Amino acid sequence: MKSYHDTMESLRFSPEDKAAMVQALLPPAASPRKLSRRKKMALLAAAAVAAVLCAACATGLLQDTFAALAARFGDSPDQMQSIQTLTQPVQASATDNGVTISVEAVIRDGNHIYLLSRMTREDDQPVLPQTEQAKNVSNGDNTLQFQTDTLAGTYHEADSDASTDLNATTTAEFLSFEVHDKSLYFLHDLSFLRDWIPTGPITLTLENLSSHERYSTSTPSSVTEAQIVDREIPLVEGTWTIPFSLDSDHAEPPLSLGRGQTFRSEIRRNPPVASPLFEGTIQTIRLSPMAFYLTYDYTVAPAALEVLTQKYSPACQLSLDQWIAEELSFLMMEQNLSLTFTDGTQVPLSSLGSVSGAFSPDNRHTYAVQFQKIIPPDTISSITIGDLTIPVPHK
Amino acid sequence: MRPPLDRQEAERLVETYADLILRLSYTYLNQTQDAQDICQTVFLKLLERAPAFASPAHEKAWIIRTTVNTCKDLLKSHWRKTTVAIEAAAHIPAPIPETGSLLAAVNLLPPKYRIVIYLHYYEGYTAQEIAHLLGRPPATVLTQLRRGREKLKPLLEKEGYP
Repeated sequence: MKSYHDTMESLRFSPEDKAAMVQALLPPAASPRKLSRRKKMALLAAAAVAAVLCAACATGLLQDTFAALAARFGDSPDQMQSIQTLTQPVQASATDNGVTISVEAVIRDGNHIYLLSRMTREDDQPVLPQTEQAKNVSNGDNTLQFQTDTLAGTYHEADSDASTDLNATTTAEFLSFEVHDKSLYFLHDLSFLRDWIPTGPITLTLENLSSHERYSTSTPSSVTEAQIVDREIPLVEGTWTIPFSLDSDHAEPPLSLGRGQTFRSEIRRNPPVASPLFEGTIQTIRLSPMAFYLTYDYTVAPAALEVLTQKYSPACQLSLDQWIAEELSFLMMEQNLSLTFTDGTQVPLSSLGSVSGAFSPDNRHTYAVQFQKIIPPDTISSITIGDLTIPVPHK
Repeated sequence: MRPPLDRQEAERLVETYADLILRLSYTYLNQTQDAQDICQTVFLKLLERAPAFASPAHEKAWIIRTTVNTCKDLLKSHWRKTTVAIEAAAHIPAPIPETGSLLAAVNLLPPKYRIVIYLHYYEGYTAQEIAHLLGRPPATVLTQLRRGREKLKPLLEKEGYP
């Protein structure tokens, strides 16, 4: 392994490169070359660094991949280290109409899988058309979308031998971009079916990138006659079918905690609902750098049921049972769930990413958080669920 | 503005500082593509501003500080570089440090730590000298060096650094 000193020592321009740089610095009369200084020095530096440092690298794409991932998942040293650990290069691609989409990498832990892909043009021009209509396309509302966006493969159920073939419709999440960018990056979240994980051969099919605009043509004096323009903006035509394979052995299993432990939930609301709202028995907690899943069986406290029943009105056009179930689903998403970090800070789980929940028959609830940034589990000291605190073991 | 360079002076500048600028740029930006532009920019600034240097050490300090500031400006202007087309990537491959190497560990640190580590362990500057070079308080540089050492200790020891 090359030492840090040797690596830096060998990072230098060749004598020929330096001679060309000297020429570029001289006044125009003394320099017969017409190539711009900027381009010349750029080429020289590239060649020098490539010659010295690319021995261990298979391709330059991976560095850009990490830059895109760091912008999305976090750029602290811990997060970038986690990204490297969680990322597996894929580099499968397809080209149509002069546009290439390449699946660059899989980012996965035991709980969650993302695919990172990149879109570029073969002629090195901006991916999006530089037209008047397209110039206002932005990532603010995630308006870029493919007309066809599917993942086909075999999905295996977590903690089970069951598997099924699926052709699932997905949605690409475009990372921050400018209209003139020559590369567009986007993510696919493969964990949309929470307990089903794709492994083995997978095919990503994408077709026709477009955007969408919706605006009103009304003026303040004619609000009642407002016309809504709601239309699709075609951007990049093409069909890309990209087969690749997911390695199931890459991911480290998530931390599994708390099974069988019980807790009482507390809801902070004004006016307060009866407290405790319910009692829960943990079936599973799965904690990984990218996600948190809590599944528990619950029993609603009789006092809470009585309060909810008193609040019910038939005007809501739901049965009492339906109404209570809906109220509970809202209340249970507000329960006290937090992480305490090793630096002492305590943060509600709901503020750490996007939250989802699912209710199953027999009073089972799953509360899931897909972290916005990668959170290494060894930065977490404990999980608080209602009145229960569960320490997080570290390696 | 500086008088036009003669060949001897141009050769002296390039021979003395081109590699330093390249290494500093790579250390700060963690990629090769922008290092090329930084090199160009620093030399052009030197020609345009024509500062009067009291000594060779003074001149080197100016080059280092200008390089770091130019890198910072580039990072502020836009975070993500996405302009490497696939066919160009083969000519400008980004360096991939070997897994487990000191370089790989250094590259994971924030830019301000990487620069301090580079200036101390490769260029041989003391914390006081680095503070002067970068215009930071000496206590800040000492803290950054200490934290960098803590994170890199096993790898530094493996490569023979104290």
